Amino acid sequence: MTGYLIRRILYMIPILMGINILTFALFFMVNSPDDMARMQLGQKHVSQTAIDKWKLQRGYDLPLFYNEKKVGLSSITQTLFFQKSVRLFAFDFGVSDAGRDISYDISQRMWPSLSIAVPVLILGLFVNIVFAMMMAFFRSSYLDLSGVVFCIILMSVSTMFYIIGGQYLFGKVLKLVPISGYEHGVDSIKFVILPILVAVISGIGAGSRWYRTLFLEEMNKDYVKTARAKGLSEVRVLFHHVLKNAMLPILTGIVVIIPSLFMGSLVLESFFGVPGLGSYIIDAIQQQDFAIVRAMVFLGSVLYIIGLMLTDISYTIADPRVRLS
Amino acid sequence: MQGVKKIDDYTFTITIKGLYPQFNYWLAMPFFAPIPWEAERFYAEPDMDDRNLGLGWYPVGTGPFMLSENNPNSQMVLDKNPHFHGEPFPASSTKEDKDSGFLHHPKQSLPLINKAIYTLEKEAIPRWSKFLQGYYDLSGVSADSFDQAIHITPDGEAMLTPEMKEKGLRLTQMTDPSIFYMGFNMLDKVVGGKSDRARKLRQAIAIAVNYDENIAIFFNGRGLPAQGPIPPGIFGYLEGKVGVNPYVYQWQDNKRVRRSIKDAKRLMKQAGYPNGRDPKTGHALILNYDVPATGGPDDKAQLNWMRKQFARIGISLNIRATQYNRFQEKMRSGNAQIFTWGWNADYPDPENFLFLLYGPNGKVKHGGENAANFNNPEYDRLFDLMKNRPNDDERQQIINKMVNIARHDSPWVFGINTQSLSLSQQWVAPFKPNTISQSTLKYMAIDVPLRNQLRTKWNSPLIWPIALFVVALGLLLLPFLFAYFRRLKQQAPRSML
Repeated sequence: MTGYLIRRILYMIPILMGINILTFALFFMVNSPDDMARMQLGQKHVSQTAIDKWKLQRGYDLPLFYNEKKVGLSSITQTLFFQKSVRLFAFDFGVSDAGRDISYDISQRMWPSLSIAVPVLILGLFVNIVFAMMMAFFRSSYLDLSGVVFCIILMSVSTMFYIIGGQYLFGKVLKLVPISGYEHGVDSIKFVILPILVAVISGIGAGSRWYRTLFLEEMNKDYVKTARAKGLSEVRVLFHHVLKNAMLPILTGIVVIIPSLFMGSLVLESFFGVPGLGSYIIDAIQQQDFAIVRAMVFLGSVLYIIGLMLTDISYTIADPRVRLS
Repeated sequence: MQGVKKIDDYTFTITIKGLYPQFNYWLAMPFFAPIPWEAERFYAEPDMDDRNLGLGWYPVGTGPFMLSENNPNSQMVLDKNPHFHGEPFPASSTKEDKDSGFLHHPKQSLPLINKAIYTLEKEAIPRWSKFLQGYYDLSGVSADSFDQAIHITPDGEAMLTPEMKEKGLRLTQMTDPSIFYMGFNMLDKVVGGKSDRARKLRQAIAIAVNYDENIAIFFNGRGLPAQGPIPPGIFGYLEGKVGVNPYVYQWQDNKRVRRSIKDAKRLMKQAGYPNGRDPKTGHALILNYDVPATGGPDDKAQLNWMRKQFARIGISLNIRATQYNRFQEKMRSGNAQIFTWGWNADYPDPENFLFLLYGPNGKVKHGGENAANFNNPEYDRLFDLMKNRPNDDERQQIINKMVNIARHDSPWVFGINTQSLSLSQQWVAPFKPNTISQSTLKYMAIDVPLRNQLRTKWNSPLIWPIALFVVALGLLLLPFLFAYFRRLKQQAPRSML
């Protein structure tokens, strides 16, 4: 397995380089360094001298990919792409175009994102499995049918409706929780309850239906028939045998998203006023802050690849028949 | 520094060359705020940036408040500056201001509040809901909440709805010192230039694009159709009949009435485009409209509306919606034909608006703010005469001539002077709106006990619906429970084995 992991880690390098080139090209196709300077300096009365000074201070005065004024290796290294990309591979994100240390900002803003994402994952998993188990237990009955219809209804409703409806009902009408906002420490609990609830409820439809399908597929297998034949109760069959074997595809879906949890949710964070990493990316795109966009895309890619590797590892744990080679 | 003379530790004089009355306004701008040199030197030390320590993040100044918490992504807190040099609340005012309740704390030391908390709310719906709950003292009126908050009378006056009146809210209405306009690139061969043909084409378009309708549809009536480059509230703007743009409006029954589409069609015919037909092609004249678009649903409605306005005089409008950066590039290089843009006053002087049509400020040739690249030697001559004059009759006369030139030549369709509506809670003392200066927080007074009392009253939680929900859920689960026990006792069907 060690060899496999080393190979996967080495694969990361070209993948990340490709992503970096793509991000760089896409960003600068839409925004030139002059546009970025104008955005930072304000739209009115911006002189070319001020723009040139801004670019020089932040290293945006270099050519994008090839420096014709230099010779040899310098023609490659003295470019915007090289200067802005190489440090990323050492996880040195540098400073944003507004002059903030990006690593520090990420370390501060990941906690609000995690305070929502982690409970949503755990609670959502629990609720979805229990609900799916109930439907599987009452399979082919009216209760099962009602559960499936309920799931489809939940799936058909837009996330925005859950958010606005949740804010209206729990925040405005019942006044049980704040409509939006965030505070650090223990005080954050009252602010994250509603986004967690909204995220869990909005995920029940899709999650439960998928898990129900997995459970029903397992329930038709021979080992389940054997378990029933030896007289085990249906509950024991479901929770001790079916759930254990259905965990493999569930793990595939869950483990892959664990590392990227801290990237936050763009919509939830925006509507609930949570200063997490989701809104950090959106703000950076709107402000044309390439340093932040580049850092967050790079980090997101690294985490996604790590997530895939963790999924592979989790296979070997959940199913001893699987060997990584 | 040449021209600057120190009088004492806190006073200095600045001598400027020649007349420049607008310099007083420059002195009131944020970049003229005094900053201690020690602070600047402190932040210039090595590695400060790497630790996120900078003047931009931890500002040092001499104002009535100090920024004690600065997290623009969540919350910013201003605390009363104990070292503020001191400034009293005005002791007297006009009768009108006094009657409006603006003179509420005469001679008291400023600021009147100890702390101001600014919280970031990105979405309009939660922001509005929290304002109604009393968690915010002030609010604007967004399009989403407009109907709930504002009632427009048949006379077009904005008033609070009964629900808002019951809450004790106060409505403040201001006309912004700004203008949104549709510009013609005067360097363009079709819509630009000084020929009668092009001028009449522009005048026809100015009549056809009905900004009165635009204000009603897209701004909830919050705006005035602009009659020239100068917005209301700025010296040089004229009310009533004399202030009307005669090329687009007529004065009838003591009010302005938009010219009919027949007038626009007549102008189109005189311009050589009868019924909007281009004689060169025999088809409808095609014009290009360059506009920055965000891709939002409002964009589509706005652009469709604009296309319909041009279609009224037979012109086919080709919309070239681009990202804002590309739009700016087109403007700089002169590749736009018709565009919309706007301007907010830097300071309340007509020079700050009339310079938008001053030839030496042309965007393409000089990189200035004259986006239409308008160039009229007589206008430029008058501008030079006007810009450094005090606000006297002669200046008004010069401005009238300049505005008439702009209306006649029509490099812009004078679009909209927007109006802002703001709401304040009953515990906020009345304050005089100021559309230019941002530093009015020091005059604000809050009745904190009343605020606390009403907040508690408005926000006591309702528990019984939750109890009811739990009981209902329990009842809903009963069939599951019965079915569960029934199934446990059931014999396994053969199909399950």
